[in-house]
Amino acid sequence: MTLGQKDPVAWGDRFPEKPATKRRWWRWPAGTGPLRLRAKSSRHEPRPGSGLLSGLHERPGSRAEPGSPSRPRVARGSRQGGVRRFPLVALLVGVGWAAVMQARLFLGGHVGLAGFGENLPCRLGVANFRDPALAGWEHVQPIWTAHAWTGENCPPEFSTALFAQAAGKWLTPLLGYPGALDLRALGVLFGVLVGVVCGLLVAVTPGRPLFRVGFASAAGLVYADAGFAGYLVSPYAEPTALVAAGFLVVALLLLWERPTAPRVLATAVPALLVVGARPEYVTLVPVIGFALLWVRGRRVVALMVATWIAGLGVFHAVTEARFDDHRAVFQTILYDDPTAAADLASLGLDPELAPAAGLSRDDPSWVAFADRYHRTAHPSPLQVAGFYATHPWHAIRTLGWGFQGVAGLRPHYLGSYPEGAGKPAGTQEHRVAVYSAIWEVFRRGPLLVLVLWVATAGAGFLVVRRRSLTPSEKTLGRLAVVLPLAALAQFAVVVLVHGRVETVRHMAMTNWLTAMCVPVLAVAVALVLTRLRPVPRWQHRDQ
Amino acid sequence: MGKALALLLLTATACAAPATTHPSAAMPVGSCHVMSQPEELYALSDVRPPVPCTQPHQTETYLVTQLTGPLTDTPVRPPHELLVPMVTAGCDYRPIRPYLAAGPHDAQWGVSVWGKVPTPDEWAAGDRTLRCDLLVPTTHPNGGPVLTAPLRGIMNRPESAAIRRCNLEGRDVQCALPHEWEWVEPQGLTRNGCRANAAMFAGRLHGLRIRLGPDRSCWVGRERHRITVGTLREGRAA
Repeated sequence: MTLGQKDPVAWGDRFPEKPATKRRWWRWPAGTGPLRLRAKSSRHEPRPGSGLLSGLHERPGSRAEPGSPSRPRVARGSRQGGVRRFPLVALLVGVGWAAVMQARLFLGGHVGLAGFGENLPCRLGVANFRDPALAGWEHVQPIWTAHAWTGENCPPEFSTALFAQAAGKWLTPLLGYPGALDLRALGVLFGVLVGVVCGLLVAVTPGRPLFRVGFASAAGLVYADAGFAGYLVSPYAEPTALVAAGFLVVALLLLWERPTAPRVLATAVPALLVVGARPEYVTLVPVIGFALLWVRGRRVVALMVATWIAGLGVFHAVTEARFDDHRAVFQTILYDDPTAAADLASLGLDPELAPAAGLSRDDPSWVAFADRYHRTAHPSPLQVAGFYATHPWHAIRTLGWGFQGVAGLRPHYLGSYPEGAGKPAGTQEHRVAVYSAIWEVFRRGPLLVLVLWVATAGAGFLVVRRRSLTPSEKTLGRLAVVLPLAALAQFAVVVLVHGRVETVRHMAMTNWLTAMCVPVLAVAVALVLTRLRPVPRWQHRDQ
Repeated sequence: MGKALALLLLTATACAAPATTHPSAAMPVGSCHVMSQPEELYALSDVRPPVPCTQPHQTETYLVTQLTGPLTDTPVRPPHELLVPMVTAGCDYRPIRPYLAAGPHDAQWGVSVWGKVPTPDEWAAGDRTLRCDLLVPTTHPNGGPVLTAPLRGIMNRPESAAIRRCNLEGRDVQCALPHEWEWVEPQGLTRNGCRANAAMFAGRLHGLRIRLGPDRSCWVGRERHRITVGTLREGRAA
């Protein structure tokens, strides 16, 4: 038995399709429509407001009289397709979180993440203006000046992050920042977009306003956390992907709530932005495809969009991903490996290269092996994956490094403060550290990350299967299933491609997805625990 | 969708037009090159058109030759770690001193050699040109290296202070920066030998003092106004 069945608005929430059009509403005869049914069952219901998430939409004047087929009185514009949006609350939360993000990034001097060697904005005809005596990891260097790059100095990479950086370039003079592109303009932009994500989450999340605000704020807190906020003022592609992933969560919740062609297509925009940001994100394509197809209708459109995303992903993987088997093999598989020669042979590489095990390309000792390495066959990612499948000990070892990378949360060697802020080189800021504090647990037991993923997916599965929950509430269950899947896919590709080289930085998306698992798991568990009693079958005819 | 299209348009308008390029094989000896970004200096190739050496630039070509070795037969340009030994072997240091017009008492200091090879496309087309550039260290504490004069024959000009070795309070600096002592080639001399070389170096000894370092290096400095800028080399004072 669900809570809030006395509440017509909550009923609309439960059956969003029925009240969607007036014509359908008229055709329901009195006494057989949902309002009538609910009125009948209302005396068996718990007191409204006793539940956590639902039955919480009730408000004075919104209740229909028992037996009356009349449409409930709800505030105009506050309900779409039978689901309340709380636009004022959403607006307030969005503006609030946009302001919080601006304060978090700029109050008392801006913070960010040092762009050590990252030159993606060069595609926009800009170059980082920095002290040439610095290596790049020490401080945030936000100013990029106009520069004409030639030849291979600026590789022809494509990333959807260039869209955001182009917007930042456009905003730079408007905000009065120096140079052609100032990363602080990007921070302003991303901060506002985080506010939009939080506001939209309020609108698409089911439940009481307070619950929606709490869930949206938990998501906002992920962006504000020291583990992620720095990326928003940095030249990396990650911030675009992380913010777009927030929009993707919103779009998926909206899509699962009521699948329509516009919603499916609207999901494609953030999905493409995420997948196109970095070559590694191609692994999110099957997960997004699965999420798109996990709808009751419009499968053709969803399939089409999934095909587009898959096409972009494949294109990205083929043209951009330069699989460096040196990192995957010599610096990961062969690291401290007593059977290096045999493992090289298994991978199809020259066993004579065994003494080079563990050496980086920058190591002077590597020069002696460079020629032989250049002339030997190089394994593909699939071959490396096959090696792990047949060598479980190596797989366990590498997975361990991967989980340590996730537990690391943020690169320890990249500074957060600008030069002249009075901070020593490489100093990191920890002003907002809620999720960072949770990650302290993961640092002590990296495998707890896996436990979180499994628990989130399991709770999400229970939510999806629980018949007493509304379709709106089940969207959170689907999200709880999809987030760990995406995190796992991203984790797998980072482990496979990068191994133990710069694992922490490459796990940024995995970490974001994992962080999002925390509030989603809490919601899923709450949904499962507060809806233990089954609902009669007749109440589920439209679910 | 509209948002994405708008951003796409925005990006299209914001993207820089591709700069004109100059083939690697067509860079002559004495050409000067702008590499204001570290990425440009560390890149394997450089196809930016050269600039007049009187304009601000970073490197100057002192040698153009051909890469040799078995790897030059490969149609695909070898990776960085294989090209570095080839460039190191190909950029002969011997033409440097004649190029700078360094005499027996002149020592170039801080000048480094940077090699440039063809781009992958040029390599695939059969180009194996190796360009060897000279880079002079910066004299600006907060800026990168910038030269506005040609390096060819620089030892005969006052600008040579930028590549001469001087010393201030035990720290080696370029002679274009404030210093107390200036190095005189060669080292391993007696005090009298140092005095004789210093006299030949500066064209005089009046008003000068000499110092023999612990490694028997020969240094010359002014007796008055000891902290100075520029070189004491005869005829090269600014």
